[in-house]
Amino acid sequence: MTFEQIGAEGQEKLAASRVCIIGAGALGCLIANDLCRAGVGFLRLIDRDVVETVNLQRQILFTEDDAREGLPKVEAAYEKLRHANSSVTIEPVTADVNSSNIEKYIADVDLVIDGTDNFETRFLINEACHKHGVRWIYGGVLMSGGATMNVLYGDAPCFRCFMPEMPAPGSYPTCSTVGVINPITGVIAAYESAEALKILTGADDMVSRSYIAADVWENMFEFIEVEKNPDCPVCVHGRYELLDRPAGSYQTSLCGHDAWQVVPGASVKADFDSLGPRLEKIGAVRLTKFSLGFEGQGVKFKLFPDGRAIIEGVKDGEAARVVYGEYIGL
Amino acid sequence: MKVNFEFVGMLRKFNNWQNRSTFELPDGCTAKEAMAKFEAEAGFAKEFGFITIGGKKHADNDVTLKDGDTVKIFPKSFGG
Repeated sequence: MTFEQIGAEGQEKLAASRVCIIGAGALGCLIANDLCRAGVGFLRLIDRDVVETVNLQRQILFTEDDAREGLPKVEAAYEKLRHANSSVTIEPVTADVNSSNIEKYIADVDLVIDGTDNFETRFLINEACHKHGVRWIYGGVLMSGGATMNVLYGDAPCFRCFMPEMPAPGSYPTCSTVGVINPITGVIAAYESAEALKILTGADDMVSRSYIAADVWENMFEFIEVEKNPDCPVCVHGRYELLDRPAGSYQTSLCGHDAWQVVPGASVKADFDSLGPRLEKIGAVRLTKFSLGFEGQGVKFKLFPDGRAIIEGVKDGEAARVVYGEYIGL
Repeated sequence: MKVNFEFVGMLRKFNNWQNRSTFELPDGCTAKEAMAKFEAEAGFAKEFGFITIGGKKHADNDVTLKDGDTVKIFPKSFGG
């Protein structure tokens, strides 16, 4: 590493570092690419979704072939990254991050990076990372704007200090409704990656303590001082409202395309061998080692081994749950 | 008193595509009260993220505004 501020010592620190990136969309792809090529020793990539053609405009680790095959995003990303730097250990995890599993994903890493597309997961990351003393980096984009903030805890504000109330799902515009242009994802991901390199190499005096906001269309770039909330339920009082909530069955909309995810409450294992022949009688079934895809009777979904399903073309979570019950019924 | 408001990014469309406006507010008005009025009139509650006053994001918006203050209104940054 010829960059003096990192140097050989910093490079060794990077090689010994463990990072978890939650979300492998536009931001997650870019950050994973940056950190893999920078030589971060261990990267855990987590995402719940599969590659689709609509992703290709901004999600740089995916190809048309990946979309045709409907590969899970983290598997497609893994295939590209392992050829970029074979010295990096990459752990792809296809899963929905929720209160029942987040701690096992973040407890053994040095840093968590946000590539998610929703505030509920970010609030959950904030609680889990505080509980385990792991720093994380928030990042979000929409339209031509975006923002990032290091969540360092201690005397610094956490994400809940910045955003005291979690916006209700459906109460804010999404990538699907207003879109996002690619250049802003590059700006925000670049800052997230740079902050990660500073944190991992111990360049604490250079780590940003600001909320960084940018808009490439509106010619806006700001570094904003965020006040710590002296009564913050998370970083002051250590109350973990989302983390301590039992994970039941739930549905969530997926950013960027017209689909809902259904997650079963109990831990289940989908029996593709039994379900596949049954569904073949009423539609087209596509079986891979990662998923079972079905299309027929006006219904289209992809079922994963952990019982999770992505239902396409439904208007809301309740409609997705009905399809799940009728066609999968685990 | 006169307070300057800046509408950042997509929020500009709720101010006739202008970045900046100055509004007359009653003395003693807090940022929270001003924002409640604007949200009700302009209808940008869905897009609204947070405000800064004098370049700082306060822990809450119960901050009494002063003549000449600048309030910047930022949208949410949601997707990934």
